[in-house]
Amino acid sequence: MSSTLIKRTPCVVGVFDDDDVFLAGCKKIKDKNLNVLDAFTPFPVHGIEAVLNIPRSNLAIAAFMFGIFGFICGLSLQVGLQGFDWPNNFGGKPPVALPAFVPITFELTILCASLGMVGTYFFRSTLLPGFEPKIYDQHATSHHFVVLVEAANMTDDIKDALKEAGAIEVREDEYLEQNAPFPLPIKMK
Amino acid sequence: MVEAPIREPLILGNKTYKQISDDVIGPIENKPSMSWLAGFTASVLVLGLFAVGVGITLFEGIGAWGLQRTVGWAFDITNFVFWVGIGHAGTLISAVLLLFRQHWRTSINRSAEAMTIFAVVCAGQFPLIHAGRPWVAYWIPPLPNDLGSLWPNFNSPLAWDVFAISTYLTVSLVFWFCGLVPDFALVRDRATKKIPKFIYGFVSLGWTGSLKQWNRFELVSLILAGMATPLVLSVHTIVSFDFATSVIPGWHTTIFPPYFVAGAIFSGFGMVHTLLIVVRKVMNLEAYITINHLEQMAKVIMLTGTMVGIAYGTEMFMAMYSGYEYEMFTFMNRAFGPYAWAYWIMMSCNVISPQVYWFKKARTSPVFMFIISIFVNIGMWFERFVIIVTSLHRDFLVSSWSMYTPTWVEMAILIGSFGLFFTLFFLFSKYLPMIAVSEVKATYKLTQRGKDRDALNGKSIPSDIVYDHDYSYSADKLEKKTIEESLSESHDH
Repeated sequence: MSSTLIKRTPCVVGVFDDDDVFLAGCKKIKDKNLNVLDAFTPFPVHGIEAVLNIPRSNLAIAAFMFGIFGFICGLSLQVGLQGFDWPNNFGGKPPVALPAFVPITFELTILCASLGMVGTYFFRSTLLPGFEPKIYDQHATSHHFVVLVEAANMTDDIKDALKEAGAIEVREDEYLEQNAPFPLPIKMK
Repeated sequence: MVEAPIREPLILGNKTYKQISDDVIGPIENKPSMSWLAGFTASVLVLGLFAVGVGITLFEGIGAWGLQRTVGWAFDITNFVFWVGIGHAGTLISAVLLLFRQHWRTSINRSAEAMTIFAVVCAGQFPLIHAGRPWVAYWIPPLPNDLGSLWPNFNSPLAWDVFAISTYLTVSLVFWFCGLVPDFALVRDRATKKIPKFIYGFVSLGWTGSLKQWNRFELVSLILAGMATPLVLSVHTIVSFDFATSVIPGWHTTIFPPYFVAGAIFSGFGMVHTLLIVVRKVMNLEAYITINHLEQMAKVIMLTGTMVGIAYGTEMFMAMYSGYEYEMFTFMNRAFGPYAWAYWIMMSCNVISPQVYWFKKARTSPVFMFIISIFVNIGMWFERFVIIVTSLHRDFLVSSWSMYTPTWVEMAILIGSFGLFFTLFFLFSKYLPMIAVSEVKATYKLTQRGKDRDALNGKSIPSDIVYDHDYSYSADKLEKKTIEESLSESHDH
């Protein structure tokens, strides 16, 4: 089953051990017109988005939408229950007392915006419980900076280009991507 | 090359990225130390005291406490506000300092956030047990029911509190977990045994550190920080509304929201000091949580302590200036009545003791800071006690005046709540990365001095690379500076 759900692309893995060398190296690789499939770093390397043309994420819009949803829920919950479903007389105050509804509306706005945004982020980034990703380098979460260059096989040109860029290790591998309409928590193998 | 020679490096010693991983993840992989085991056992025993206190309360009812008709709120709500207050430093450190681009937060944000969550967990126990029947706690949220008009009163600050505290707990947990995911992946990739590999693999959600994951991670952190900042302010504002919207002299003052927020930050930083001064010694993290970090927090403690002092003064002044005899009486009674001892403990611990931080010597001595932080904790607990009990115990009718004394059950619950807090904190320090490894690494080079930076990984790094000092995504600075050129230049030399 997994064979149809996973798209395989042959690639060359270049391993760096310093973020500055890695960033400069990525620029060199890009300048040589090599296609960078992905890169794995132990921390966000600033400036890499510009080098590898990673577009800005739209998660802010998602957060805003979820926030609006939370605002509407919070306000309509209080107005609906206290104003219409069962109006009560609390010390002669009006049942629909909008200033008193501000705190809960605010809290629900924040709650929905943050939960919705983080949920979207997890889903879109294939961060799902039980998902087993392919690890290209065992130290990519610790002290190695890994770049994946698309290549049918490792020619000397590509090897030299990566070495020249500062890679300490160059090897052949296969880049795996999920080939399903939405992310699945499967084992990438 | 921009260098700030005045600033101390955030992390001491020339660490490589691998060393940072080893230093932080090491304690998770090794067997627990004797000091950890001793501390954990002690905490669990104290937690047992909490269970006893709560058990008796649930079995006998609130009659097991010292509350009466006049003083209907005392220890429980004092403890509640105390713990909620402590829960404010974590979000302040992780969210507000992220927005202000303060890199020093990276070493301490993880443990401060953990402390926040555990403190809010402790706080949540008190309204539950005070309500007397925690098994019907589900009446509080607006669930559809057939019991008549049992919707919560949305005009009541107590109902706002439920939403505020639960939202705060949820958002803090989510924020904390988001930051933990990359570090869980690091533990997973280092793990050699099967069970830890499986567990950390499961909670790391399959993190790889790919380009898009980091890209989104940073945006999510930034937006969450942006949302958590007004949230943290709203939570303690709403807690202060519990008092401020009432008609009790000493409670219904408009100064309460900012005054409570300042007090919460003050007590939160006090508790962060108490914990981290011990933790950095016991866990050998002195290179990461440096005197510099402690000094920054000492400054915040001094500032917020002074704000709290001004609030006490304003409160007193406004009571006298108002000409409202009940208000005047309450404040005179606070300062000179039967609970004057509590008032003066509060004043000396909260207002006077942090003033020693004007002296650099005081701000840089861990032992001294530890002592002051204990004073701050005591003082802030008494602040809530003073506000609650002294305002209630002499009410409008002289015939109903009374004194409040806690029973041993209440004392057991108070002491036991520290057991709950420390049990959770000990578990956290053993099984989760105490320091946000990826964030420390990301800011490491920015904050090291040129010499130390060059020594990183034992190689010379081009000295004119411009480090992007802010967390923004625009890399236009980078476009202008050709790193490539600077690299080749340095090779030529």
